[in-house]
Amino acid sequence: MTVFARIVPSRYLRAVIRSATPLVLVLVAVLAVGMILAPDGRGASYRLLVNFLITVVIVVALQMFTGNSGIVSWGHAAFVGIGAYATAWFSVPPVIKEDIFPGLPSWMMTAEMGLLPCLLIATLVGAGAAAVIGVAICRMKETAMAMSTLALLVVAHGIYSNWEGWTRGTEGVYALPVQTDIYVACVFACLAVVLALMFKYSRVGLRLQASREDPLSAEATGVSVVRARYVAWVASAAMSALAGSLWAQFNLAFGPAQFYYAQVFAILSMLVIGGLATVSGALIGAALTNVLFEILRGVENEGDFFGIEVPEINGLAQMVLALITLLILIFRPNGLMAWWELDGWLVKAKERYWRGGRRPALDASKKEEV
Amino acid sequence: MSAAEVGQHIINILSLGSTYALLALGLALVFGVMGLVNFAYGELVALTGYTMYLMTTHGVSWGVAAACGIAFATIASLLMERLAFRPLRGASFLTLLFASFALSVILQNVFRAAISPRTKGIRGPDLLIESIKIGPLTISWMSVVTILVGAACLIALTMFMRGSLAGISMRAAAENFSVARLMGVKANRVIALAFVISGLLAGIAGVLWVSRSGSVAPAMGFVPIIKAFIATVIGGLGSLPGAVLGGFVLAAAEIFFIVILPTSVQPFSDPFALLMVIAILYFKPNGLLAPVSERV
Repeated sequence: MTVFARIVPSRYLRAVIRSATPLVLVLVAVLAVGMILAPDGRGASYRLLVNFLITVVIVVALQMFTGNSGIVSWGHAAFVGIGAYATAWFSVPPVIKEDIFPGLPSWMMTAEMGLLPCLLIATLVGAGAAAVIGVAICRMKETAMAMSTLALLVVAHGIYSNWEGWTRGTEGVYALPVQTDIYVACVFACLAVVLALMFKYSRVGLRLQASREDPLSAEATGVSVVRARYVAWVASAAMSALAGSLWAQFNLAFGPAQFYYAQVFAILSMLVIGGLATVSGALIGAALTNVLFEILRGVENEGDFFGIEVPEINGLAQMVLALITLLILIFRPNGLMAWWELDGWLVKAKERYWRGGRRPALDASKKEEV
Repeated sequence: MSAAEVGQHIINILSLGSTYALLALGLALVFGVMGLVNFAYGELVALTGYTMYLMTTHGVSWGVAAACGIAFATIASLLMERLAFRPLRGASFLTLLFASFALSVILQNVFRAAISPRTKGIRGPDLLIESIKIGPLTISWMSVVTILVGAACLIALTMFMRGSLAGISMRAAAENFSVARLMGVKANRVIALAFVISGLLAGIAGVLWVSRSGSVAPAMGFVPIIKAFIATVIGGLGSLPGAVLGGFVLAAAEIFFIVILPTSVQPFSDPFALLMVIAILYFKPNGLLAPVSERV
């Protein structure tokens, strides 16, 4: 450890590296599995893995805001949507664009951009939108803020469904070029994890976590709660828009229904199951939920659960996910990872199981709930 | 705009507003006593609708179906408290909100699996479709009934909350739960009562909602819960008069934008109304009639 300390003198960076390493290894392992299962970049398992990596970006982005601030946001799906539509405006071939986006101004009509410019534009548009909305939203009380993000989701859905010239309404957008592959998705998932950890351990991140535990005390010790929330809001919205752009460039066709209630629920459940407070929780929640969804979707379509006949049930996957979320909230309200990042959790597990069941010396501080 | 048109719009606002006010009240009552914004509340509206759908298609008369719908919503609300929220008593706002969200998704999928994923039509009584003419005004019976039911519920609830011991203990519990318990208010009973009244209001609002829309769908609870949620926040979460006021303000904002916007931007009237609500909250972050005492 002393060598590590000598190479990386900053305690902040050491904490980030320590927590990020196991998570990045997991993501790289997913990449490796993808390369073995589908070296040609085709097939259902390949699609599943890439979509999983993109989901990680979305969930981690939400964790940055909701996890650190303790305020639920239903609105992040709106930013994923903004990223996706912005990408479509700049990447669909101009010939098709004239047909599906008649309202675009001429300079946008002729644009046909590659992966990185699209990601950049999507991120900027998302950040800009969040910066404007955040001015109003971040001043509110926690409960009002949660409601306003819900209103934001409804407003965004209304705009996506009705702004015919720019979004093609409920019919949806198509003909985006494929520009995201498993490598791109993996790189950005790793980047998202590292950025979220950097934010979590940063000064503003710690202030925000203090405000999560007790806004009044945080304010009293000189934390500007509104400013901390605003920074997190814009940063996480920008990351959501980036994820939306990645997603759009892999799935190629989408409509307003892709950024609504069902998706918000899935993303929030992943976060709750894994544990709100940690980036590792976001990653693990996303992984478990995706596995569960795949199994249940198989059951739903084939009526067969490891050889046991099951009657066909509509929406079974969603129902089971909701039930699991509810049980987690009742029996383990802080999620599977609770307050541990994966590195700390591994140390804890090692102490507990390899040294004859001794209790770990450093117990996670129990949160007192009022 | 002529006086007759203004009158017409006012009646629309009153009728829409009383539906929203009923919905918002049910939500605010439960929030008051246990700090829970019950997302599954919208599913009680849907449950009322589905009960009415199943009964009317099996030849039961509309009135009986509506009464059963309200009864079922009340029972379901009580069951919700017992099964899902009692184990979570004392949990944080966020945990409770997530739990009710999960519950709402479970119920939606139960409707989807048990009845049908598609929208189903319900035929209301013929009377509600007709309208009466008073001078230059044309008023549908639907609006008249909605306004009357809304007013009756508000008066009854006010009398109950002010006059009866149960109502007073509920208000006390909303103000300070632990002190109310020290004064002898039974925690379980007062919370159960809040859920019962909340379910009753959801049922009544559900009957009105379904007769207005004439259809039921698994995800139909989403719209009422959002309206109720917004109305309570405009009024100030935890304030019952605020919830009623919020319902009417939201209705007024919606009708206002439907009236003033040209037809080409008409689909955006809902987003506009919501943006206006966010603007109100920008200036009054705690809502219009927020409870005075700051919770520390």
